[in-house]
Amino acid sequence: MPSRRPHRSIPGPSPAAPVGPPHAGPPPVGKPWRMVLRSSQQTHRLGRCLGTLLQGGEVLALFGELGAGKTSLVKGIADGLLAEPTEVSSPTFTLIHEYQGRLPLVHTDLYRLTASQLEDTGLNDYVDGHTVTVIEWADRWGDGLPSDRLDVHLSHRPPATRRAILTARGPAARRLLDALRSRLSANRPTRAARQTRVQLSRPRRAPH
Amino acid sequence: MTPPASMTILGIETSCDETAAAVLDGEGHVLANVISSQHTVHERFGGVVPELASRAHIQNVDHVTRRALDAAGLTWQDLGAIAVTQGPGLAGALLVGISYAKSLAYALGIPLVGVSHLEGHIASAWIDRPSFPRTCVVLIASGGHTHLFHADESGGLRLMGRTIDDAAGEAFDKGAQMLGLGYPGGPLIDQAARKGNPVTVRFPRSRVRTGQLDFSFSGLKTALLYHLQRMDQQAITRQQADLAAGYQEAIVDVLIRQTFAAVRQAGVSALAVVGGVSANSRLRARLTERAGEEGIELGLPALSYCTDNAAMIAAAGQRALEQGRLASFECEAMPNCALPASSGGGTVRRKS
Repeated sequence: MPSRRPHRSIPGPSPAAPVGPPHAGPPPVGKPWRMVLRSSQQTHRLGRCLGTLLQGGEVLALFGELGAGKTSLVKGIADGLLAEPTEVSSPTFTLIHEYQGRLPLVHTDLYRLTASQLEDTGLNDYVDGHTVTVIEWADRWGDGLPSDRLDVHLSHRPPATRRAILTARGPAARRLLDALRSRLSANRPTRAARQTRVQLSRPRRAPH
Repeated sequence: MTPPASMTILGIETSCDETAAAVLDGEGHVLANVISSQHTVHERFGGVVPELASRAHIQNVDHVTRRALDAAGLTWQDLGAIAVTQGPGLAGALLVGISYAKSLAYALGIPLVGVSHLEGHIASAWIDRPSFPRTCVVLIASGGHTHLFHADESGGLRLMGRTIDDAAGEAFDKGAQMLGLGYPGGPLIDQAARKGNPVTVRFPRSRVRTGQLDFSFSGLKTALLYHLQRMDQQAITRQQADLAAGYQEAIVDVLIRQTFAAVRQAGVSALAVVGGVSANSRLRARLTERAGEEGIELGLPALSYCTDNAAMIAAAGQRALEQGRLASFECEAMPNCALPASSGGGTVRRKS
């Protein structure tokens, strides 16, 4: 496995706009919160905790490469938010996914879209005071992006952990982040719960 | 309305980006199978836009259904029942098919049955082979699902295992994206892998501790990502075929290992593999080989029934009617349901 080397973006179809965290938009309200996620269970738990705290109308903007844990986080959010266990999958192919539960949940991925295309998708119509909107690659939205939102940046920390940075960009997002902090620090996971559920078999050395 | 045991049935499928209609006769023979792809509508977005999908379905559904009737050489009055996909899928898209099917059934005075898209995929294994054993293990592998079911004689389904993260088709799509192969990933990796050596690069095969028959593909995706990060772009291009072959082999290995473990556990002698991923040539070859070794009867649908189509919906509808299932005119779209749509829907729950 690689040591901690500087992160390089992966090859693939180049997106419509430069890849990277959005620095534009409203300034953060209060300090961002950084945490290390040691397993997909921890990512899921963070999401579930967020899900139980949502009150409707929140906008969560997720950033991170393939495999950074975005879908795991949304699965957790759905677990905390929806009444029934629901199969959440990545909106890579079908760009907008809707779920019904305690609150309606909309999950979308804007990676391949430009701001002008976005108008044609009707995404605007989903964002209201009631629906929880989770947006991957929200910076594609440009000026149309709701200003009061919680940004969640997920990144790889090889070999197997992830880093999450949560930034509130508005008063409602700040309240959500504060509630999340106090909830998560109140019940820290036990050691057993931190163990990884998925075990990877060690790859054999490839013949050269 | 009591439906006769066998009758000509119209199937309508609008769950995602294909508007499809098919007609099956009373014996289950496919008389017509029409699919209208919305590829051009969604192409510029690089993915399916739900609102545009719904609009395209509205434009196409009547036309596609009439074409299916024409191809079958039938008129409206020859239809005995209508089957429609109730879910899972895009809410608006499903609603178009359901509303259309309801109005047709009402106007013609014939029974309507709502089926799950997954039931449809499962039924596809029997379309060309009605004699295939009903008691078997079924693997559904597609872009949205990777599920193992134990099917019994009466058509009952028991969930044996499922993916805890990405579906197999999603693993193909994301792998292809990382390898710079484009979309859709399944056929492109399949194609690239034919020129590559599957053992040059070996990727990990995930095991799930909690559920012996569950699948996990997100670790594999991350392994590919880390592997590519250690290579420069030239090396990736040069080794593309070997990387695709190694990645595909890891997915196929995990699918085969878990599926045959399920066959052993269920104690059955037949295995059906359905869904979009069942079109993968390497998977088909490995399944055929392994099933031959173990003396298992293997059911693989024809390639035209692997991807979304309405013949499978009509076939599942026929089965549902045999079981006495009927939908009322109050039936609704169930975007997140799994199995079966008309028996209360809801999500798949594991029975222990």
